[in-house]
Amino acid sequence: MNPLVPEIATIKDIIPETGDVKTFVVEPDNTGSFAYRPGQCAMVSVFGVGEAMISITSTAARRGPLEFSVKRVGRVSGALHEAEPGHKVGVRGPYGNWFPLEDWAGRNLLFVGGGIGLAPLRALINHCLDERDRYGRVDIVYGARSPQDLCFKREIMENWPRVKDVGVHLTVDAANGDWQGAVALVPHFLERLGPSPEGTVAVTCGPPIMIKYTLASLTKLGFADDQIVTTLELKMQCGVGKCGRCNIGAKYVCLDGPVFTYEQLKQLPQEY
Amino acid sequence: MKLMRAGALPRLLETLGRQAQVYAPATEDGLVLLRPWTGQAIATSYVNPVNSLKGLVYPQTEAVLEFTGGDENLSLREAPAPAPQVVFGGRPCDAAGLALIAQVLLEGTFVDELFRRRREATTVLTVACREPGPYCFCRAMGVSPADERGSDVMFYPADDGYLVEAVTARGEEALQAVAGLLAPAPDTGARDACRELRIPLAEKLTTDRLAARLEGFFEHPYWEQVARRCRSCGTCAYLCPTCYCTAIFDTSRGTRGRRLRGWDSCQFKDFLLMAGGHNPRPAKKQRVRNRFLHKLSYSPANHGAYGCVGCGRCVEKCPADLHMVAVLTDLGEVLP
Repeated sequence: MNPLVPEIATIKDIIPETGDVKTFVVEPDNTGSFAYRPGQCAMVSVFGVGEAMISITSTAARRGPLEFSVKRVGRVSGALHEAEPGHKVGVRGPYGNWFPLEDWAGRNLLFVGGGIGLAPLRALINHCLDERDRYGRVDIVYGARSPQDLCFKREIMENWPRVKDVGVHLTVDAANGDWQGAVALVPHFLERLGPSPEGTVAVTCGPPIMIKYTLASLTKLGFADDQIVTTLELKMQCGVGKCGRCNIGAKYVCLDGPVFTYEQLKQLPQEY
Repeated sequence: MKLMRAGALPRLLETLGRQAQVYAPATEDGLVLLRPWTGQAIATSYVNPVNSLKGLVYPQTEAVLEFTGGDENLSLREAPAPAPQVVFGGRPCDAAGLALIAQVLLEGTFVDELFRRRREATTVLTVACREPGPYCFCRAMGVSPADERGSDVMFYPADDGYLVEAVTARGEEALQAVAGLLAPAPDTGARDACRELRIPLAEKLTTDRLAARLEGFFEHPYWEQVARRCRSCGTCAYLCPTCYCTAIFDTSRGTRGRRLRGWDSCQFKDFLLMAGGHNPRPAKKQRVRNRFLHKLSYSPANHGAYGCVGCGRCVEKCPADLHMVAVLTDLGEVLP
């Protein structure tokens, strides 16, 4: 079997999240879906345009179709944004490692997301909230450029805050309209919230610059390097460790990542 | 060991060519290249052909799949299986390069099916070296002029022909098909002559404990300095028998199209450029450093061998003299 050949899949539904983010509900035509874990990614094809590695934002344990939340930034994401329900795409995967949930039983979870970086965290958050009793307190810190740029509004505003001992803390870079919430960059907002590192795992994803400053803020708050987990994105072509593209030193993000602890990242060249 | 008279070579290729496309060294405009063989003169006075074995087993561009149809009705067809081929006249360094690419592409969680099929359809008949070229430095990279890695059959040049020995089952099979051209022979020393061949340029280079000595060298100002003269042309990567980086891209017209895979190089500025503009290696220093550290540090860490076989093509062809020999020479002075 050639791992570079995708399965044809059908876009079942398209949910607009923000002005430039849509969630695509996708069902592979033959298999219906495939097994994956929170944090893993898949290559999504628009035939004639190309492929892009996209994190799977649905939660496998819920047994639904695959969901990909995609920001319109380039050729493939642009073509996806032009697609309509019923259109065919290609899907292959899952690729990469996953969040080390097995080690987190009994611990508090702190999720820190920025913009479309909430997409891989959403798969994880829903997975954890579905087995709420395994974990301690859960806090979700999420920010976007503006109130209109917050993704997954129903979950961040309604579903997640309703779950027992879950705090959802939202912020925007710049307020407008009737926004009553915080106005601050995510790392600053996080420092102001001051979550305790005691018995806590922090998981962060967002634009590279946000991740960089969030790692620094978490350190400032007293989180040890092995208490901080992040998920990276690098340019990928094959997704299976063969094309030589997504290396950081001797590691490949598609195989050895995308999930790394801060401790692991510090062993690598700062080129991501 | 078997002896094949030099004059029997065309008949050997002709016999093997009944079942396969044969490639052999040919002289074109004074240069020797591995080319499809259709009975033309077989070049013998060369050290390394211009092209390595890489492109014959891992083509510069190849189809992954074809697609037809529109947005709502789409069908895929995988690229057809490659035809059998026999390649005569590559050198041990290039075959060792092929073996390294095979390690990367065939080992691990995933198997590169395109490479596997073509490698299995290819019989590599390697001619060991009796003289070094001016740019050869194989021994510095742990490769010998009689290296068997990546070869199916070894041909050791002897006075009156070649001493021939199969290395793999595939090689055995090829030799059985041409058994009539081979006579039993003792090893008259042809193999040892190749094994013991001195490679003067390699003797000037130090690669002892290189991986360990490179630790902590990532941020050294050397990279900035050496990268200044790089033209980012990618000549080194395209000629390299071990560089394996590829890009995958679609071409289409109307309702039909193909997904292709083709060589790429980490020396190109947009190699890691992502949609949205983020580029983790925007500086030439970073890209040059990545290429050399990949070969000298990351490849040993991941695959237990340098990602360089010392063929010397980059040494000969780099327009800016920024090649493995130059870097190894510099490192000999700069590293502790």
